[in-house]
Amino acid sequence: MTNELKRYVQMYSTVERNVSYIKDKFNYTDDLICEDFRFQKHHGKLVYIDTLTDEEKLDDTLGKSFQKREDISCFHTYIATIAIDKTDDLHEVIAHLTKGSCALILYEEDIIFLFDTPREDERSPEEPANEKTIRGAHLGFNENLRTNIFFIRQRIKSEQLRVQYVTLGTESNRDIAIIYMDNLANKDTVQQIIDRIQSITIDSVFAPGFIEECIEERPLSPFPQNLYTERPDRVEAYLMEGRIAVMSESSTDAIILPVTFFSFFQSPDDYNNRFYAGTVFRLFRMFSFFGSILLPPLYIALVGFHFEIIPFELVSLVKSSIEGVPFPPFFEAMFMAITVELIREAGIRLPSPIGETIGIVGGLIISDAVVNAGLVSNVIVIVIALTAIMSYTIPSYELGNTVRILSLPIMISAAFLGFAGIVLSFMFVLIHLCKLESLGVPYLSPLAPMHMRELLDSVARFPVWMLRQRPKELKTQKRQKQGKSREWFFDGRKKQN
Amino acid sequence: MDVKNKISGIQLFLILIHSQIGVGIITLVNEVHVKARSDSWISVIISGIAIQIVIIIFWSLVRRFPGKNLFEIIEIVLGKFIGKIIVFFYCLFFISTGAILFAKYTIILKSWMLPLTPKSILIGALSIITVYLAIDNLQVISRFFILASSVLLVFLGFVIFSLKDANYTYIMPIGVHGVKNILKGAVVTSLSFQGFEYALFFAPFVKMKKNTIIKTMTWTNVFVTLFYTFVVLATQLFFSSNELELVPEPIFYLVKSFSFKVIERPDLIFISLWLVLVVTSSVVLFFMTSFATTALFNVKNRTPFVYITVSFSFFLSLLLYGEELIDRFTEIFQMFFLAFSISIPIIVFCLSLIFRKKGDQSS
Repeated sequence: MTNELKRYVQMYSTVERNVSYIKDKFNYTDDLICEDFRFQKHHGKLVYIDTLTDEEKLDDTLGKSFQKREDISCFHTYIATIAIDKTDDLHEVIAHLTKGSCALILYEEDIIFLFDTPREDERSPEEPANEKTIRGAHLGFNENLRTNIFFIRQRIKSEQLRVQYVTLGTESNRDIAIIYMDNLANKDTVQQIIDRIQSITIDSVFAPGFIEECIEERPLSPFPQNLYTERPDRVEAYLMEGRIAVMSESSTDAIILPVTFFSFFQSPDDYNNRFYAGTVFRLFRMFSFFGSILLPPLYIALVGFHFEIIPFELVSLVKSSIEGVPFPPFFEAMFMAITVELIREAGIRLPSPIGETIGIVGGLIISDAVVNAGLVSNVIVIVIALTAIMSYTIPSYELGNTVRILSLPIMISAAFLGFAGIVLSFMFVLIHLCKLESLGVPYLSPLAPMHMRELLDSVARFPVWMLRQRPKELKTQKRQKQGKSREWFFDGRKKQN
Repeated sequence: MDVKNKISGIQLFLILIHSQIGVGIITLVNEVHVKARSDSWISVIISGIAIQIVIIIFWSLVRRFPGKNLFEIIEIVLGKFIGKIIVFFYCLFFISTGAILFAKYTIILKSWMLPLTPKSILIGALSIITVYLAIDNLQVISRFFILASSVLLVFLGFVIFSLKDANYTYIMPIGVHGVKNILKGAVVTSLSFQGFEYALFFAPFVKMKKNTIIKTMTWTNVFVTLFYTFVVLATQLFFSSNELELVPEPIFYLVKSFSFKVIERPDLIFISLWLVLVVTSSVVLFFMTSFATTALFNVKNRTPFVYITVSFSFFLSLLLYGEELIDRFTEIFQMFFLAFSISIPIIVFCLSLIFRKKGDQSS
């Protein structure tokens, strides 16, 4: 706001000078339209950007059809009611024009009227491709901020849901919405997020990744410290836990803050399944996180250093497959890991029929040919394929990337020090995780620092009625989530006795 | 240290047990067994009881000076100049403790897993991880120790598993080697308890309720004593006295003798997990060392001293070549341990009684 006050430009006394000022400010762009306005005895100029305004709306409010109307007796009262704003500040007029408003400059007035006529073009919401669920809602965000907030408000019908707008980007003027439950979210955390977002001075915030990188504590860490989601139901769940969502105009992602390591393993599906399934599959995902980091290094260490640990019956099997391979296990593993990454990278960008072909050609033919040629062993193909599958079971795309990057240094240390190298470098990763904090919430909570009861909801997924409190580390204003939800059951049992 | 970073009793407990259980546990059985033979486990218990008495004295000392750590107490009681000299010797003591830890870790790792890897790389890897964690605050350190505690459970699991082959005649008859030998064994064991005295330095960092410190120290001591006793006892039940003389690292041999369907040599995994315990105890040690150096030079920022002290220990441990040299160094070191970890705090306590010096009780 202070910025705008500084740039206050008093409007000129004549309509022509005002129009030429605006044209000059817009650098005589061709889609800036300035047409004559004539209604009864009132004359003026109508200024708008053609490509940003909705023609129908414009026509209704001020255009040709309006100018023919005869039922309006008092023009001034009418104009004043339908205008969204009136101002004598030319700078504000320009700011409004860039948002799709149109400006009416009248000859006899020393004030400019602004009308809300933006063109709204949005695709219909679909289920997000990278966060599919089997049960539950299938709604995803689209690129319109107001529609997205509508989705959230539709789910949380509460006066406590608060939206705060911040405009970012000194040139691109992108609206950012900070959404939270006013009676739950920690006030300091909210203030911290707002402060951090307002301190961003990039001229154009074209991806939510910009915001993320500017507000997270440790931008150089390989681990994501904010959670992206395109699902309103997920945002709802996090808001009700007392977390905060940041959304930006023209982006389908909501950034959730603060998050912990375990948030990345949760999927809405867990809560739509019975709790056994939810828990077991969630544990599988965590297992596959560690598995995909550790499997290739384990192979390297086993083959390179500790052959004696393999059971006797297996030794001849492994040995025979490795015998002819001319490279040390580290190169084998690197070669295969890089191949898988290449196939993945090639498959993503190509249109889907070609992408699938690449997958088949790459996956099946290369691996088969490579083993037959004797360049790598059978075992490493199994190991790398398993690793790849494991890394794709992690619901968060960001964390999946982290895994693939992290296993490289651990592979290197396994090549140098065997098991000791794996343990030492993995400890390094764990220490790093212990050091991470997301807006004051320890990244590994509730495991370290340990909160036993919360482990039931973050590592496992216990029945909903057992989870009565919000996470402690979030320092929410209310901790209680629910009372006794299955009281009827226990009451019934008491009556029986 | 500000209030936000104060640790709770449980966190202190974790930090203390991880500082005590480390490299020593592997060779402990062998070392005690040289003195006390089949009564080694009694030595461990006696050692634990003796340490408990020392802990009570320590606690009385801390209680006289609330909100002060041992270095500050020494300076109050003995004056600035003598105080600084003693703190300086503490620094040397900690650095040489670190060097011995590094050296012992290398010897075990070289003989069991990586015979061809140069010593400097092994110590270097340990140093890097130690520095990475030791530069951070106690909150973060205790977070990692929660994760590391799972290794203790695996340790216990392996040891319990070994009881299936237990032979009770190996420790019979109880007490046959005489009180003198048992006590000698207890003195040797006390070295493995090194780390309990850190509570004297951590005291001001703990969220003080009335008896948090003494309760935590006692529980730590009970836990560590039982843990050691259990490990020693299980090893003694597994190996006969004559066998124990031959094996320098009995626990590893014990685990090595198992064989599962999937894992032929569980000892390799066991040793890898033991590395976690080495890291944790070295982290606490160098946290202390850097803390001592900041007290010596009256500076606030601990980080550069972590780098400096770890590199001192790194080079010192490279000089310790061969097992014999390390054994002799350890023997001398035992005297230092008795002096620094036990005697000096007790002497300071006595002096504070004699001179009637007391800290500010209000704080």
